[in-house]
Formats: sequence, structure tokens, C-alpha cells
Amino acid sequence: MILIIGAGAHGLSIAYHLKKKGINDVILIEMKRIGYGSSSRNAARYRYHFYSKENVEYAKKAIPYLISQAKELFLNSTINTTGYLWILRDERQIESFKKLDSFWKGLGVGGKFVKCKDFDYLTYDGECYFAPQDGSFHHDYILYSYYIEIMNKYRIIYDEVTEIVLGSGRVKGVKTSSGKIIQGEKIVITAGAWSGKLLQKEKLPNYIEPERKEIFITEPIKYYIKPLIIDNEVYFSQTLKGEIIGGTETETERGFLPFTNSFSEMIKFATRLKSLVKRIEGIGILRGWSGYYEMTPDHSHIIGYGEDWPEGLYIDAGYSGHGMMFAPYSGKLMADLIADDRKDAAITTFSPDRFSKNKLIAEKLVI
Amino acid sequence: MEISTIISKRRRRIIGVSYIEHGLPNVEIILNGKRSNVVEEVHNESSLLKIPFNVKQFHRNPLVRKFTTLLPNLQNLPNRYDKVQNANKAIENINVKKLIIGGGTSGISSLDRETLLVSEDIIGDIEYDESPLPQIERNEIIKRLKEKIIEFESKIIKGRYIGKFDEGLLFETDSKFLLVNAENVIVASGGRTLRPIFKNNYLPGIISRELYLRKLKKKYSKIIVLGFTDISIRTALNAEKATLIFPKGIKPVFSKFYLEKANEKGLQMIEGNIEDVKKEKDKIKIITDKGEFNGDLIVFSTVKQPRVEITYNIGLNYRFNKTLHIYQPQENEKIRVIGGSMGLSNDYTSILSSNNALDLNTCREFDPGICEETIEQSKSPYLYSEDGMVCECEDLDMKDISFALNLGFSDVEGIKRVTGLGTGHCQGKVCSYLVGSITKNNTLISFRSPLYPVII
Repeated sequence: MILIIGAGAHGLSIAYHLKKKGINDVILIEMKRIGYGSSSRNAARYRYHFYSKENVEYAKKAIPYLISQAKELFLNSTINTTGYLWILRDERQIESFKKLDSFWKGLGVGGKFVKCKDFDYLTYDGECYFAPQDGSFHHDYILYSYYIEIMNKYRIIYDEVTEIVLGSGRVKGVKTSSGKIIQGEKIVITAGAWSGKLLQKEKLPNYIEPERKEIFITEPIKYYIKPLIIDNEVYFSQTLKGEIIGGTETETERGFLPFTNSFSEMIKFATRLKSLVKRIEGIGILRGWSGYYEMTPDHSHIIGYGEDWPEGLYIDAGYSGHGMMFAPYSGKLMADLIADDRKDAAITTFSPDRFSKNKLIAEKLVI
Repeated sequence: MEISTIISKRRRRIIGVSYIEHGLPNVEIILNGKRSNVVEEVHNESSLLKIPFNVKQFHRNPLVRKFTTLLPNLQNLPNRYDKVQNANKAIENINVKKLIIGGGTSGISSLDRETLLVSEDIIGDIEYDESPLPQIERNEIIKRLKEKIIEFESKIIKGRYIGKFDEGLLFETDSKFLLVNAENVIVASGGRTLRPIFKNNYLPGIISRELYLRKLKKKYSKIIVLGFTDISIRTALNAEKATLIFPKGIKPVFSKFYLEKANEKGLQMIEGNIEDVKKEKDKIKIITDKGEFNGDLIVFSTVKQPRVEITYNIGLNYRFNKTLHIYQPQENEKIRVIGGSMGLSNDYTSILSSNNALDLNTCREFDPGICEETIEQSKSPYLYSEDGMVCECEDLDMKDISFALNLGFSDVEGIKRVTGLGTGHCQGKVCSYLVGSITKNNTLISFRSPLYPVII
């Protein structure tokens, strides 16, 4: 029996890929509801443009896979190549993007320097950097497609896993908050921001910490802002339904803060957005919510298992803000690992052992 | 006709405006960049190009999937939002001992020296609904409420509850934002009627009880009322001539008092499903399995649905009432719920609830179904047929909801995620309750802050 802890994008993607392999014995255990964590709270964008070589290389496999999955899956994931646009406010930023540009070009995902005015809805007259390969999708339609595929095949137990039960150096099952014990020979943690709690309980080093981020959407307007736009302290994009969605960069303490919003953040977002974009002076903020970035020390994900971990325990978590776009591909790699013991090179690169071996993947572009 | 018509978002069909409450679908639209209240100022649009949109095609038609990114251009959306007057409002923080949200009968009745009351609408429904009340005279209540308003004038602020934020409960007034921190809260934000589901239920001339009583009562005297509760009868009592229709299989929940009033008036009551609706010049015709009925307007008055988005947003759970198909908030130590917010539709019981004096027998007699469930409806009292519009903002019909139901989704949240239900301008203030009732769900969706668009 394979147990998947957490029915978010990653847990469901693993389940979907296990089903494709014809595996029958899988149980998902979900604390709240499908996608309750970050999977239903993100801005649904994909990109190749990371700071670290490892993440760019990962994206070069993961993003084409996301796009191919989007075509194949039951619901219309509205995949759209829109680009990412960085507003470069000063020489220092321009310099650092010159370095990034040659680094990205070397990896085959080069963008270009453009005048911000080329995007005629922007008020800023200066330098911008445009990465045309990146884009958007609808996170719910990916997530729920996976759910639709597995809902009649695998059992989903709605309960909170409190502990992983071990015996003679290997996993035996999980204990839940209602006191149930569910037996399994293989267990994969895909509990997003809550994954760290489970590691801690097993006295394994906890590399995953939640960081609350707030996000807002505006009233809808005719679709005209195509790329995701990143400026100092603010990022935003437009959905195909017309809302402008985005948030701000604001230092927050780490931890499980409540999923609420602050009025000050809403004001900050609205003010910055309106100063940057034309035609929306009188637009209203329609809704806000918050979610956790599941931060690791090097802002990169953790997949596979540690050398000294109990036999049969796996993890796929810690995506630090870029988990949704990688969910299809990571689910495939994880299913290969769990079912066939096939270990992709990326599983070694992104293994939890990198922290003790000091092979960090310094990812500085967290959006 | 003095009813606005607008073009819907995705199908680009003509929809008749039916609500009057701020924040409900198509009460306010954007015209050439300006916010325009189309209830106050009648506006008529015609649609040249209708789009045969539906959720199943959107997800499953290979051609639609291939050209999905072209779809946004077909949507009816504003192309700009002009600057509004009194933007950049000041922010004020207030600490109070007791806060009342809502200034209708129950809210005003709860006023005392220690209290701050914030409401968009003062007095409200009772001033417009001329139907008789049990035990007390309507004019007497209005007189008493007005006296109380004068006595506590300094304790009343005209403003709208926007939502709970980390800094406090946010209200917006004409001139500022108020962040209120209160030791105790009384929610008296009332309820509303929602558009039931039947074929062509979006045609102009199908309106809410609230719009009828406040705006159109004097001009249109012959109406067809849709509903199965006391407020349905009360709506009918306001008109010169009325016919009441409730869906087949629904057991009406009337109090003895209003049933007698209905009989005195000779109100015709029909149990029937609606097969179609036709608009004929200034008349509207409703075709049911029990025959055809004509009127000036169709006025929906199914049941007074508490504004649970407000109570949920503040932090209260709710439960589904199987008799009335309403969602009723559950109080806690710090937050009380009174009047229409708890589902009461009668001003007499409302006043009692605000004084903590509503006993079970009185509640049973004058507001049946609220304090205890008497029967379980076999289906949704909003459902007059299996066809019709459900989500006005995102332009979803019953068959779009069926697409999700057929896939195996049975909760409102799941249906929302697959169809986009409740993600539009009103953020689910209508459709989530309808779908909750159809699926007999205990849970709706997360009603997050802000509850209404906020312009900063």
C-alpha cells in the first residue's frame, strides 16, 4: 500500500501517475479538502527563469511536461504563453539582469531587454526585461483534472496525519488525529507547508517553513495585460477572465499565521498597481486571500528521500513559491521512483541530503 | 419598461436587472469607465452577438480548447475604470464595547448607550412592505424605530461592512474607512431573496421582492409571486392582484397568520413547475404544468436568505435548514446574531430576538421553520425546472452545474472550482446559496474580504 499525505497538486499528480502505471493500492490522506494548501491559493503562472542552473534545468523538463499534460487532461487548463516582464528601476538591477540574461541565454532560455513603454498600458518609462517563454494556466483545472482521474480509483481519507509509524528502520503506516492507524509500505509526504511538521515529528531535520503571502484580485477589465509583471515590491498579471491578480513583497515572520488579509497590504497592492498601470484608476479590489510559501533554506524543492531516512519514506515538497507549475513533472518523477525505483538525476540534485552535504541550490528569484 | 437590461459576460445575452442591493449582480455596471447604478438610472443594452458558451464545451471541445486564449476578447467587460470621486479616503481606527452591524428593525431595536451601529440602510424593509404584521401595528414599529434613531443619532454611522481584516472589522462610509475593534458584535445584517431557477429566468421583468417593494410596486399592480414562505404571501399582499407559485413537491411553510391573510385576499396558490416564460410587450407570461399565468412582473420571494457571507466572514459557522433551505449562522460568546440574519422574516419576531425575548412557541407560530425544522423538503424550493441561469455574474446555467454534478462533484466548493461558479462580481452572494440548496450542502464557499469591491 502506498500512502500519499496531502491531496494537493503534488499528491494528486503522484496518484495520477501511479494510476497510469496500473498500481491499485494507493490511499490519499487529506487534512481539509482537495488543494486546501497552496494548490488553490497560487497565481497560476509558469516560468523557466530561475536564478539557479538546477532550477532552470528542472523547469526545462517540467514546463514542457506541464504544457503537454494541460493538453491531455480532462479540464481545459487554459495554458497561455504570456511572458514575464521585469521592470528594472536602476543601474544595479540592469546590471544583475545583464548577468542573468547571459546565464539564461547559455541555457537556451534567453529573453531580451525592452523599453517598458513597448507595453503601452504601463506608466513607467524605462528599462524592462522580457522573458517570452513563460506563461499562465488555471491551477484549479490541473488540480481537479488529476482529482477527476483518480477519484473513482483511489480512496481519499479526510483526516490529519499526526505521525508516521516506523518499525525496524522502515515505515509501517501513519497515525491520524482521529486515532486511526493506516498501514502502508511506502509513504510520500506531499503536505506542502505542513510537510515540515511531519519531518520534525520523526526527528528528521525540518527544512520546510511556512511564510504567509497575501494575494488580491481586482474587478475584471478587458484582457490587456498579458505578461506577469514584476516590479520592486509588487507583482501582478491578468487572468483570462479579466481580473488583475497579484501581491506585494512584504517581510513577514515565518510560521502558520492565519489565512487572513491585512488592510494595509491591500492598500499597498492597490496603490502600487494603479501607479503602474493605465486605465484602472477607479478599479476596485474584489477579493483577497492568503497562502503559504513552503520555504526551504535554499528556496528550492526537496524530492526523493534522505540517505539515512527510514526505508519507504519519500518527500515531494518545499517548493518555496513555485510548486504549482512543477507539480505534473514532479509527480511523474516521484511515481517512477516509488513504483519502479527509477531515480532521475534530479532526484539526487534536489534530495534532502544536499543540506548536510552543503550542496545548496541558491535560488534567489522567488516570485 | 422601467427595468434595465444588460449584456451578460460570457454568453452576451440580455439579462433583466432584478436586484436592488449593492453588491448583487448587475445592480452597478461600468459604462464608459464610470460606475453606474442601473436600478437608479434605467439603462438598456442590446446584444448583436450572442455566444453559445457553456462549461462542458469550454472544457471538452477540442476546438474551444485550442483557441481558449482568444476567448477573453469575446467577454463583455469594461475597458477602463475611471477615477472616482472621494478616492483616497482617510482611515480611522475605533474601539468600541459593542458593535451592531445592520440598521433594520432588529439592529435599531438593539441600540443602547454603549453601542455603535453601522449600516448602509437605516430602517429598511419595514418601510416598504405594507403587509400587516401580527401582534403589533407596522406604523407603530416604524414610529418607535424613528424615535430610537433620534435618541441615538450620535451612535449611528452610515457605512458598509467590507470585511474582517488583521487590523479590525472594516467599514466604508462616504468619506472614510473605519477599522473597528469591538468587544462584542451583534450581527443584524438581515436577509434577501434570490432568483429561483427555471427556463428563461433571466428575462427582464423577473425581479426580487426587494426591488419590487422599493421601486416598482406603485407602477405594477398585477404580479406573479414565486415562493413558499410567509414573505411570499407578504409580497403578494403588497400587490393589487397576485398569484403565488411554489415548485412541485415543495411543502409550503406558512404561518397561520399569513395563511389567513392570503385567504382573506383570495390569493391563488399554485403548486407547479415552470416550463417557460414569455415576454409579451409590457406583460410577462409564465407557463406551468398547471396552466398559464399573466402578470406585469414576476416577483421572486422564495425565502429570506440570511446574508451568511457577512456572518461567515466575521467568523461564525452556519448550518443548513432543511425546511426552509436557508443557511443559519451559529452564534458564539462574542458575536450575537439577531433578526433577519438568523433567518427571521417577521418584524415582530425580529424585535423579540433583539431583546432576547423570542421563545420557541412564538417563533414556531410567527416564523415557522426558523427556530426548529419541521419538515425536510424533498428538493430545492428554488428549483422550478432543470433549466435556467444560476450564476448571473459568470453566466452559468443549470446545465453547467450539471456538468460538475455528473463528474461526481457534490460540494459547492468543488462545483465552484470546476465551473467558476461564484467567482464573479458578486463573489457568490446569490449562486452559492442556490447551488447549496440544490445539493443540500452544509457548506458553501469561503466568503473572503473584501465582501464588496473596494476602491483605494
